[in-house]
Amino acid sequence: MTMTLFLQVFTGQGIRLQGEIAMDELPDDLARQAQAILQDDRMLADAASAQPPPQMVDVSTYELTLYYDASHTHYKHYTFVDAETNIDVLDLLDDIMHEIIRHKKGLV
Amino acid sequence: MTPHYGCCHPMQCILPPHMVEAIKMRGDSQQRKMAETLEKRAEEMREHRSEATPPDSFLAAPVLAMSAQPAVDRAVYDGNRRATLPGTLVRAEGDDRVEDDDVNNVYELTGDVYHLYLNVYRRNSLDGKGMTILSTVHHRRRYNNAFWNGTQMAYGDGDGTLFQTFIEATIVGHELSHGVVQFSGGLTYRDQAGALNESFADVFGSLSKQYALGQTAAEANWLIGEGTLGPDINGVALRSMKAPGTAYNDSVLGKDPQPYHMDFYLTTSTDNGGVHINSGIPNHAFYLLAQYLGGYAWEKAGCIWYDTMQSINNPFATFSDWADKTVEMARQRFGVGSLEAEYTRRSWKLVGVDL
Repeated sequence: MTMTLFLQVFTGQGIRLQGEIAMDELPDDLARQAQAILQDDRMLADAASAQPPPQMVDVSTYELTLYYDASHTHYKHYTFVDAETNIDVLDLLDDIMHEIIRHKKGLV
Repeated sequence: MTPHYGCCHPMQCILPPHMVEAIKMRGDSQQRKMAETLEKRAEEMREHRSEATPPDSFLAAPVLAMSAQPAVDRAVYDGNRRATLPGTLVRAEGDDRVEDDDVNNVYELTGDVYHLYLNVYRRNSLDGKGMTILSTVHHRRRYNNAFWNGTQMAYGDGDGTLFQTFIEATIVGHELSHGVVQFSGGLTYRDQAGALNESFADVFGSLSKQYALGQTAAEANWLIGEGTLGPDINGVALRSMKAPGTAYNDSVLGKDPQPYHMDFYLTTSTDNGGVHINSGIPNHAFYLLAQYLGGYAWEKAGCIWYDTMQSINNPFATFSDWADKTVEMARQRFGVGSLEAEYTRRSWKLVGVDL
């Protein structure tokens, strides 16, 4: 079974976006990029520990769950917040959310 | 079969909130206990983050003499769709317009906010000491957000589907007003104090637009982020101070969750305790006061709210603390028994905040 991604983004403007997408539903380029980043446990762990500047407000928060089986019993869950040091991961998640939205809006 | 609950690194691996709720409702006793433990751990992590962001020490901004005429100092940078701030300087104070409309719009809108604070509240810039106002446009790519990071503003371009821009009068005013809150002693960005921080930013974001357009309270639409949503989104703005909870209702965004009354106050662990959600309550109180008083909202209602920010000296203020202070400030400015003080008290009562 292909890995499934469940993504929630709480934008700093108070909007919550959420959705689910399978890896094989992503465009090829994005899927390759996602494979590289989402299989790198160290990179994800570092990204999850990154923190924004102490006085920053309106921070976006990303919650990502990677499901490895259809019954959703094997998964990994990460929370990321806006910070300059985890931007590769956040940019990837923004692109994935963009794809989820395109699916939801019937644009694919 | 016993479900496999996790993964991983103790600091970043938390059961997803929707699954915790499902397990608490439908799991056996051992599973429920595990879900509660994980939920508690998540809360500890959030508290850890909150404690790591102490507010500045209290410092009311000096009030400028009417004769003083300081000048605004703006600097707008191009983030080049990357994350590094501030980026490349593209327009400094006094420079001619550039080709990029986003740069020019941020420059102009920042000036509008500066002049509201200067001309009405006699405050010289965000810190009251004339600091340069730094802004970055084109921050990251497809970034659906704008923020104040403690030293500057940054604006994403939006993804073009859900959001088409974040450069809009009330959003610019909102982000800059977070700076004013910070330099006024701060309101901790969590729970009710965080919602007051958000609400203050919305109030003065809306007042910035009203002041620039010369609108009375009756003429203003009291929307935050009007025109920022994409063309296919069913909504008019990010928030409505006039009618919290009605700004959007869309298949992707969901329904605007803001309450207008304490009866609908949302207790949640997300969004720093619902800071962008429960801000609907003080937002609506301000809207009601502005309607009661009539005329230009930045004059009387705005002064009461600004005076409150300058004197509350309580980074952990609750809605009741803030409401009490607004009534005190209304009495101090307009007199005990004045209509302004009475309407302030009544506005809070109408949104269910105890005084």
